[in-house]
Amino acid sequence: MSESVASTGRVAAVVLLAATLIVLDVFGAADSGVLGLALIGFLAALRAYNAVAQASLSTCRVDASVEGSIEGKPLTVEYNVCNNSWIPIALVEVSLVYPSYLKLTRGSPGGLAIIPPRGCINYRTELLARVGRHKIGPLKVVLRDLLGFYRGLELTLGDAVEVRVKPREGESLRKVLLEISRSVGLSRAKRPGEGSEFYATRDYKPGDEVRRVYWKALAKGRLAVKEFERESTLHTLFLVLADKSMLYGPYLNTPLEHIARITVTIARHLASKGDYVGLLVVSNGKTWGGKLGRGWKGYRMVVDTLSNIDYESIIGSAESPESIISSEQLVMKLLASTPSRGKVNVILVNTVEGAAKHSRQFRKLQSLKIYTFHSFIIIPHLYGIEKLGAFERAVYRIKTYEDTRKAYDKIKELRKEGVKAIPVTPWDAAAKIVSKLETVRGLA
Amino acid sequence: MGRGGRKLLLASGILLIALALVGIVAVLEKGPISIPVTVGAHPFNRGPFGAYSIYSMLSSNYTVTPVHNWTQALAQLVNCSKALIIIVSPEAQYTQKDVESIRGFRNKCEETALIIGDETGNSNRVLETLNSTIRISGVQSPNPHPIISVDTPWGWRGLLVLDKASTLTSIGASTPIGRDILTGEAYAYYEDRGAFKAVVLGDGSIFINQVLQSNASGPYKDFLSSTVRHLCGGECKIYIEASKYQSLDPKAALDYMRSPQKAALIDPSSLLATIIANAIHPSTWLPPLLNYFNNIVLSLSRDVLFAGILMIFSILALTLILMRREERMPDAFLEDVREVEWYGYGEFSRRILAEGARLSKRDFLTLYTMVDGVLKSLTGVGLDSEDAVRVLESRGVERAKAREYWGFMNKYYRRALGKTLWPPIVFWGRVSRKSIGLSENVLKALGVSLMEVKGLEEKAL
Amino acid sequence: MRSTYTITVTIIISAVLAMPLLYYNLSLLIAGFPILTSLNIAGQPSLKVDFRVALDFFYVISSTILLVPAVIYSSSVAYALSLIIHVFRGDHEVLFNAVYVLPVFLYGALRVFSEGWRAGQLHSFRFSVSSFLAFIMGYSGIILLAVLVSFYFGNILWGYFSALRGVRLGKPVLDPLADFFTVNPVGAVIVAGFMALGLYLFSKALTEALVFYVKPSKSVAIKVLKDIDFEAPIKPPLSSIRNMIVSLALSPPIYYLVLLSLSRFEVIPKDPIMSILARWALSLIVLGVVWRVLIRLLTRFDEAEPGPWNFILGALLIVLLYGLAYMAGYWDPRVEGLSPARVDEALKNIMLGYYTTLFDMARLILILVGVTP
Repeated sequence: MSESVASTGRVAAVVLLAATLIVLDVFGAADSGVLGLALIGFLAALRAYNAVAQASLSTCRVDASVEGSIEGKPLTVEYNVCNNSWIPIALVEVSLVYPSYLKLTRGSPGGLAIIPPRGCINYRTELLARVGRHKIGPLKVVLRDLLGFYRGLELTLGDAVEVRVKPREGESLRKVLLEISRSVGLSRAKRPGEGSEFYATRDYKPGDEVRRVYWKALAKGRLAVKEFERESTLHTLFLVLADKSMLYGPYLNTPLEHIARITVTIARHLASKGDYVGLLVVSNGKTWGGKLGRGWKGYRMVVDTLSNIDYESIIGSAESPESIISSEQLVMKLLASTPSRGKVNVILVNTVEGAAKHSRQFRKLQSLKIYTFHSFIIIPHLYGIEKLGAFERAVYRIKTYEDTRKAYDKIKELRKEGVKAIPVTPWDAAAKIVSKLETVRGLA
Repeated sequence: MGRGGRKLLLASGILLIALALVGIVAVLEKGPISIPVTVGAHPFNRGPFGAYSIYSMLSSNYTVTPVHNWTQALAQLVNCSKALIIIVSPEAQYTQKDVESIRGFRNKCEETALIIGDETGNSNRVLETLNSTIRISGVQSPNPHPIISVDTPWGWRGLLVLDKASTLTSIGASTPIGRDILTGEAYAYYEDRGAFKAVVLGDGSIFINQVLQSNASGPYKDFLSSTVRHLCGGECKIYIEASKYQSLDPKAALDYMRSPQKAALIDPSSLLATIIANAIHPSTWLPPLLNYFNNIVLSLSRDVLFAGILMIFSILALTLILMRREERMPDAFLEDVREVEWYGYGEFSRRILAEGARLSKRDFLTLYTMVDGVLKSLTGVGLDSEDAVRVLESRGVERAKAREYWGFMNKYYRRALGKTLWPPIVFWGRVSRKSIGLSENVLKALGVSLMEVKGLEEKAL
Repeated sequence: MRSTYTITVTIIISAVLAMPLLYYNLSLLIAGFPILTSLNIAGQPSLKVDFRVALDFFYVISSTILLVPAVIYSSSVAYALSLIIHVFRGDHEVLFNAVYVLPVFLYGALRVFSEGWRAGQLHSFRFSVSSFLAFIMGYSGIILLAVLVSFYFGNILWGYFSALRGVRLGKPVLDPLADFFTVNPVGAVIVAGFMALGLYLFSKALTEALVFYVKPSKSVAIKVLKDIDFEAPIKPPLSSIRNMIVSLALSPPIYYLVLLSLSRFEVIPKDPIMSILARWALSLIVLGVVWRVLIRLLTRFDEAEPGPWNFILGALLIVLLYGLAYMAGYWDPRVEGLSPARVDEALKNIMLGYYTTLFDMARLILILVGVTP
């Protein structure tokens, strides 16, 4: 029968010693029999203690919590393990279960612990938050005898905790975007119409709504109505085709995270102008988001979608060389989110590999009349370059020059195939996207 | 047989061993059984003085039952029409119980017959109880080997030699059928009282193996079979006496074997059976074997060398006994999450940070291509062209520096391509390092950079 | 994964712990070498002494070599072996010196800490000082209790064992057996082993049962259940007896057929006792052969569910055998047909004939061994 506690091979050493002591006595060489039997008895007692401690360990009360939800900030994982019994539990080997794509920044992923009788221990560690949805926990534990003679079966303590991490918004990036939109200067159509910004007053004409009567003027004896600046409303849908190439790059600076930051910053920018904005993330057979929302509602939806990305399904797509979604499916998904009026600008940001893989889907989308399709291809080889020193950066550039050139060539190829792909580097992607959008708005 | 090699056994081997040990102790304690070795005219005795021959001779034609206990034999008797009781030289007196049982035979069976060959007189009580008129005197005839002439009412006639026979007496209606041819003394009587018939001889020796198996056994066998035929007719149950003979324990039997005279009395087959039974019984061989083993071990353990070897084996055996039942688990420790990063180029940049850049000729060539590309795209002039110096000067690079840069780059470019062998020894790492610094100055003048975050990619590619 | 640093530190500590034994071994080697040479110089050709010295030398060398894996892997078993080797050369003082024995216990602890301790774990685990004190007190109490209890039981059991060894039965038949377990060290070791095993297994069974009863834990129970290897084929208990029963059903017709043909050729002896012996031998051989063959077949049944065809074939075989026996035994050549014996009677005779033979023999063996009167 299987037991809750089993011996390690080390028991054999003590048994060997005990056997020798017993044999010595039986052969009349020394008075060591009692000692030999006592050793066996000691093992038995040790085992008994371990069985009891294992039972106490398995009935421990466990509270788990995870704090923190902003990308780049610490995610504090905390477990309180409380021993309800009067038996001290020693030693417990603990190991935290967490997604392998997360990084531990403080504390250790596990260790040896003791749990005092009727007392608690607190295990606390910090992970560096990255955007998306993550499952952290439970604790794997194994009871270990202090002398290493016995060990318990592996147990899990507590439950896994799910945490959603929002993307960080680059404050400086937003200022840049604001400047760009100002410089493009076309965000307002400068024509009277529906809107919220005051434009001018004019005389009342029959048919004007009463609520638009300019009361201050009325007090002066003039019947006038307020006119508002007509705003051109953009409908923008960010489309992220997340395959594994989206996860290449240093921690927090992978294309996916970069795109998440760009998206959320642009979404805020658009939301502040009352535009419709939305995000559709497509991964291996899974999609997140896809609905457009107006203004801050849309912005919140984008943030929600980003903090809901599940890395496991993206990683799962890694091995299949095929595209993560067929063009027909993609169109269906898009159509589901199309609002009744207005042309939707689909902003697709992708890696070179991803774009090459999905060029068919790109062309299909371009051909749809209700969409204006803009694809921005990031040259991934330059991720993390900002972390290098000046000279190393030069060396890095030289070393990766071949690959970078190949990436550019690939984009040229895509363009030849008819895909309107725009190469962007990580640091100018946002600016290029916004200027594109503002140009579209200006033309409207 | 087993998939995966492991089998679950639901019965414990130790339990079976323990039970076997208990059994051995019980068997030892009880000791071997002694199969009695029969002596004298017992129907199972195959020795010269045994009565096995008559038993086996009659067995071929009749149902013959050796009687070890008359009471039991009577109890098992059912549906008896005819019974023949044969008694050959009984060695003990009949008890009251025996004779009552024999009388019971007569009452139970429609017809009872009796053949007695006895020189001792022990069977007189049987004759008495069956109301026979014949008695055996028990007195040995003066002539040790009287020859009698036999003439029976059923027609058998002939001469028989007796051995130490006893004379008989009769007080009634019995017929002498055998008389000494010299003295006329009667040694055999026949009595016929209808439901009871008896043939009594003063000598049992004519029924023993020695006689019936000898070369001259013809008349004896004839006499016997004709007598049985007469008394039994076609079908009857024959009971042959087997209870009144001495039986020896194996040890006494072996003592008998020492003297040839006594040996003749013993049944060799039961002696053999006894010897076998003793030999296979654990109490015979186990104690001496253990004793032998114990002594060997004890004497060996007095020698330090052998004691050492014995101890090694004992320690190993003991450890095995103790560890066999112990459930063991590999002493594996928990594996912590192994963090993965799909670095791609990020990994590469980290390596550059960690190791420092190691540059080669190839890197120099790449750099040359990069600068060449930038120059061509921005000014339309390649780095290999003499005009490059002028172009650079027009972009604000000092003339001397532009010249030096152009010379440096092209000198090593040609050297790298193998177009020139000068300088003969080149440390490409150093050259590349220097060329990076020089190029950065030149490229800055063109508005691009190798070292800034925003580099030359858009311009050059 | 342990870091190189951890591994190095672990090995250094192991080496320090093993140092006394290593020193002891080396001093023996250095001291022993002159003896070896002086013996040769003295030129006294005492083979036994030479051999003894060489053996001693071998033992000490082995002990020293074993220390290498012991230190590198912090292996308690290798260290224990290295220690115990000294006993073989008649030197058991090392076992009673704590300095030499301690590594057997400490290597395990060393290993646990070197493998289990994670860098930076002190930042992660926190508990109050008071609860730590409570832990220290509780844990030392438990260890103390374990030591006391084990010595108590060790004393009692060894006392019992010693008393047992003093017992003399005074029965010539049983004394050698008793001596084997008491006077003979080999037997006594077995007895002591089973006593120690009993002590250990009893405590183990008791705690497992008590723990499951007093502190039932769902997770542990599920773990334990999952650990059972349900795929392992189970050998049914007493399957040999089941096979025996099936063999007994199959053997009579075979025995009958063989006996019949043997008597036709007059191979069976005429002598009544010899004929009985021959029948016994024959019945035994038939049973043995059938049994062996059946074990093969039925073991296959045990491992895979037999299909209906297997059953039908088995039944057919039995019917065929009995039919053949009936035909062979009751064929009357004069009428060229079966003699008018009833089938059930005939089969009863076939079976009874076999079973009585077998039973007689079994009874005789039991009688001979003295199990039944």
